[in-house]
Amino acid sequence: MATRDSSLLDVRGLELEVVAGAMRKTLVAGVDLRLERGETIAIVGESGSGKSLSARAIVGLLPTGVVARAGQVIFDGRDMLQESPREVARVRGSSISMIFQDPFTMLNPLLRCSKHIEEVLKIRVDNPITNRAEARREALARLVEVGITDPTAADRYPFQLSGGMRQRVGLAAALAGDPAVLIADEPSTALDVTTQAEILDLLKDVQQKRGMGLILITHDLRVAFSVAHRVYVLYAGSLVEVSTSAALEHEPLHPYTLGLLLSEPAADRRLDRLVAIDGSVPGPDEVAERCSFASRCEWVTDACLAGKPTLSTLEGERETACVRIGEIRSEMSAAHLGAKRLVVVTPLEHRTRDENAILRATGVSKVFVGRAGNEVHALRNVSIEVGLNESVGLVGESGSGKTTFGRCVVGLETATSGMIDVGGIRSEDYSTLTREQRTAIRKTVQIVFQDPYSSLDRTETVGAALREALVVNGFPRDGVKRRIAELLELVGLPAGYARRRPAALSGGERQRVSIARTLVVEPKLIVCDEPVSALDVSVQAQILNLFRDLKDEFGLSYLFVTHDLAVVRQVADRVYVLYQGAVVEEGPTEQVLDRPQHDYTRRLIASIPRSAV
Amino acid sequence: MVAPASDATTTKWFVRRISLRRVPPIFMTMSVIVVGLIVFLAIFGSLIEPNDPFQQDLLDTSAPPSPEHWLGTDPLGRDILSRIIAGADSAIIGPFIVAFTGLLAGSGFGILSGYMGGTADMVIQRLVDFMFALPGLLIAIVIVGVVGGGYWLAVLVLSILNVAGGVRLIRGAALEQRALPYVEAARTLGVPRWRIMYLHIWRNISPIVFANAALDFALALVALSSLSYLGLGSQPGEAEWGRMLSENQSLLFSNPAGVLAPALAIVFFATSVTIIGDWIYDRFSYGGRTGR
Amino acid sequence: MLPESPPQEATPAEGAAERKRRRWLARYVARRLLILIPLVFLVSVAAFTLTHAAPGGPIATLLENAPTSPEQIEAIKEKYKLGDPLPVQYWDWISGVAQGDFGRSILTNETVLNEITSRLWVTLSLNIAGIALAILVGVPLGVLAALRRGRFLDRALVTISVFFMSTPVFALGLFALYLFGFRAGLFPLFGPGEGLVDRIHHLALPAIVLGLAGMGFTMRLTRAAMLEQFDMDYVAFARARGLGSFHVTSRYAFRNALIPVTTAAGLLFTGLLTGSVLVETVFGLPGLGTLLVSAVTGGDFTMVQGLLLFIAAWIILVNIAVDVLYVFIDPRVEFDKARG
Repeated sequence: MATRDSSLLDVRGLELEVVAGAMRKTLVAGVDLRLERGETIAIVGESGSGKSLSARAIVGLLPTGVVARAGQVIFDGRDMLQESPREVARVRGSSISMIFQDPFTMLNPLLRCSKHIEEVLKIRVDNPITNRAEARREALARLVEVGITDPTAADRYPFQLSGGMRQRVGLAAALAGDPAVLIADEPSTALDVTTQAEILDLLKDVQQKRGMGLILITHDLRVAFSVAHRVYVLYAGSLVEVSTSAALEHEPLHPYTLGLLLSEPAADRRLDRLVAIDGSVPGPDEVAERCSFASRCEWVTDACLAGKPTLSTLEGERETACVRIGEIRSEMSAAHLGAKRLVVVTPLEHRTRDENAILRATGVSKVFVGRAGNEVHALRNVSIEVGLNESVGLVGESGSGKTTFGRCVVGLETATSGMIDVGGIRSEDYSTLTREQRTAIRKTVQIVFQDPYSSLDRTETVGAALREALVVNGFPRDGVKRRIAELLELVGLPAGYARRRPAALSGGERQRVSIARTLVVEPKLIVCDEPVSALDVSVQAQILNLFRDLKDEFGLSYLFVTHDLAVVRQVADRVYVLYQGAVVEEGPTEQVLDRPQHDYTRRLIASIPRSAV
Repeated sequence: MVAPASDATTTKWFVRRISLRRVPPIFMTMSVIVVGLIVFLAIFGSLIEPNDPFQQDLLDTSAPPSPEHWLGTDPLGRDILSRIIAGADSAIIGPFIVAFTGLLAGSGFGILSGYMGGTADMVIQRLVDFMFALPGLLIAIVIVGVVGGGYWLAVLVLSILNVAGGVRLIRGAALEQRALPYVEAARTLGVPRWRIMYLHIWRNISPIVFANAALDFALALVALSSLSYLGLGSQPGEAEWGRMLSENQSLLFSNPAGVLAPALAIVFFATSVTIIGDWIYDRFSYGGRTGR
Repeated sequence: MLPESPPQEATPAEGAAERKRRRWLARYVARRLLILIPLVFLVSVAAFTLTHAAPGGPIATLLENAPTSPEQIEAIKEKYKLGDPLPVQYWDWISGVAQGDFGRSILTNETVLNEITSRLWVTLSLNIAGIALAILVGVPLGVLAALRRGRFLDRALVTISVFFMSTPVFALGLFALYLFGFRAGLFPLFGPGEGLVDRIHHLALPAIVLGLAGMGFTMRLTRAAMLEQFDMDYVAFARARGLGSFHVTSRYAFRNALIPVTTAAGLLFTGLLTGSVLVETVFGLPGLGTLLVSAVTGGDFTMVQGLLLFIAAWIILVNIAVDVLYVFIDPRVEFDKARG
């Protein structure tokens, strides 16, 4: 273990807060990080953990209003928090560089790709290249380094490139100053599954070849394990565990890390019940004087509430902030191993042709006419069936047409050709339906959307939203109040939530309300359009469990649209794989995921992050 | 694929709400006082006017400020202060009608156009784009001048021409809302279209609507007084701030306070209304665009 | 703002793309210019209808100061061909216009074209100077305000912009006239002046007034656009790569902020054209604005028609110029505009 002085980068006791007039809100409450030369570390945390802000503090790029309250960021013997902005700017790019999550917004839309690299080459501290032609030659070489060998790409504008290509250009630009440290903030999250794996591999590759220090910010423990040597787990603004990847994967030593690992839906096996962490992430100020995880921890005792625990070294390089680790370690270990064994394969009898199918779509095509008159074939001759009380997964990447199909089913889009039969009513074109038919379809199929933050009208209370849905669908007014309470209870929310507005709910709670709203009409089929992909992992499992419970209780059918194979594994009985608008493979979930027949399916499965060890 | 909202974005939202508050509270307070005062004068002005604003006194024309006439008299011997007070109502009524028409028609057509799309949208869009490029005040000058109508014709012309800007703005906002899941969820639940458009969407974009109406009010006040200054719109003899400026302009160098006071009234009133509009927008809109 | 200069070692494919883009641009401009014809036609119909629909029609104006014997009415009707059906009158007028004959002013008996061209320079110089001022001062101040967001300077500048936007141009003109013309004695009080230097001296204050009125608008717009840019990922990413704050502000934030600012430039032009009507009146300048006001109030229908056509063409040309400028600033525009 290297001594602290020789570390490439050393962050000590970093505290961040946002200041607005007299209001102060803690965002990060004490983070220590150490990065050695040639090492990759990962900072793992859910939304609100402060992981991105901590990274931005290192490069002096905190958003307006956010300030470092305490701590040091020691690089090259200097405390970056104390240096002048000009000095920090000199370090940025040339010594510490950073790339961001969204390739679609990261590049200047008015600048050709190679310019993003050339401008850094010109101003970098070591060996700046001022000659234009030389800078361009070097930029082309840098593009080759990130796997862009086509020289014409250099002269394109960002809007002419795909997301993966843009992320590569971004990486080349971030590396143009040959930094000693690269910070990558969720570099693959906004990309398609297969592209994600490519970008992560590229990052790993570049890091090794350059012997560079890499800090990976991610919400996904699997991604962290696959790339990083060591992992820092951040929760509600403070570190709860630090460990090598291998050791952490083998045995987590903090209940939060354990919960995170367990609640991650497994892609390789179906679990009887997903382990969820109840509740949601608190704000750092709420947990300033106690263990930040105490409110959600099953092992909580008074000792956890007595004060803020700090990291303590356990063995070797392992550190944990759990004060009870000595007492509960064996229990945690048992839970961890137990979960691994919790393999429940439920091979449903494969129904080939269901006379009672709730949804039967045959030969559905959808063509969008683009702005310039060009045609985009979103769906090509897609045939899909969903049986009664069956959960069908629709898997594909962005642009595969999976969402478009779901929208066609509920009438938010109209198919260009083909036949859609919902509960015995031909519904491919809603505009030709009678009022009665529309009502009948509406009472058969409903939809849950991806984004919990805009799924509810933020100007009305939860109760008002449910009341509107009930009244519009002819529910007698005098029973509305009781029914609202019932609906909320069904999705696991207290009746008092009816008085709340969406702003007072967490992402998971909003998604529960969205589900309750679909239940108003007592539908037989719910189209679920990526319903958990915007949620934190610890909350995802809660919602997936809820979906399963509702299915059993009401005999619901699902059309589960998702890009996430692990989610499909947990909720779907049967799977359709969509690629470029066409179904390339279908079958029972186990069969498709374990013995994929089509090349594309194999590629999808191969791109699931796996640990490096 | 939306990633879990990273903490950087949630913080950005938080920071945005405070740092974009362009309006210092003291200005807001002053603005409310100015608007309150002018509304008060419009309603109770006739009770507190020191003199009859229409009473000519040909023996005391163009008088400088005196204890009897605080701001002096105009070339026809009328008390300038009293005329300013008497002008408060026309400074409110006309602009209010223009702004309110804009609010109603802007919301009505804007949401319709943005939500329904299709042919209705295209027709409305073409019309609005054309109207928007027109120089409204210039056209008002020509129409009111040629036709020779008074204040009400000016208000009518400005009301019509003003609608285009509101429709454009509100259509854009409605278009953004239309694509949001809460609207689509309402559609699949069978909520009637008019309810989605004029209840849900309207409620969500209302900060924009009201802020725009405030701006419309200020601009209409400026436009109406400009017309009056040119001798159009208001009739000779009417107590109207813009007209007072042109009637009294010859006194600019002998009684500047008297001449410029109505101008200051216009400036303070219009500025205050604009500031209140900004405040509404900054205070009640979440995220969205930073400026108009 | 110049477009990104083509790379020195442009590949053949890239060169072809550039040529294609240039051809597209030429076609685009040609198409926009073609639209000018139906638009001006529409305006001409509107202008003609308006002046002939006025109470009493043109005759009322023509007879204003004359004793009205039936013979005289007939004579005047004959002279101005007012007895013909309206479509015939319109045709007579518009076919004259097509040959450059806009008719004669009823008030001065001078040809409309001469009246316009002899006064054009006043309005044109006021507008050019005003727009230059509004952009050259307003845009940098907007950038400055955005850079100092939330601080004292920002608030002061925002307040100033709100003030200028809410102040009627004529009121601003009277304030300026009193303060700088009368009290400080820096500028002449009235008229256009004689000779170049004197003219510049006479037009300076009105141009400044016009510019300040536009400045409030450009400042506010630029500030909002810059603030939006500062929140963009690519701006943060540029800083993360060590690019200096000047570079980031100019090449990243400012160039992107120019897009909405350019879009609004068309509005600025029409706004200042209206403003110059008021400014010319305040300062007693013989420009198109005062010409329009006297024509409108005096019922000079040929003059009103001619001026309206002229102003319409002015506004349409400015809007086309703005659209073309836009193409140079934003490489993405080709794809969006191609559909229109």
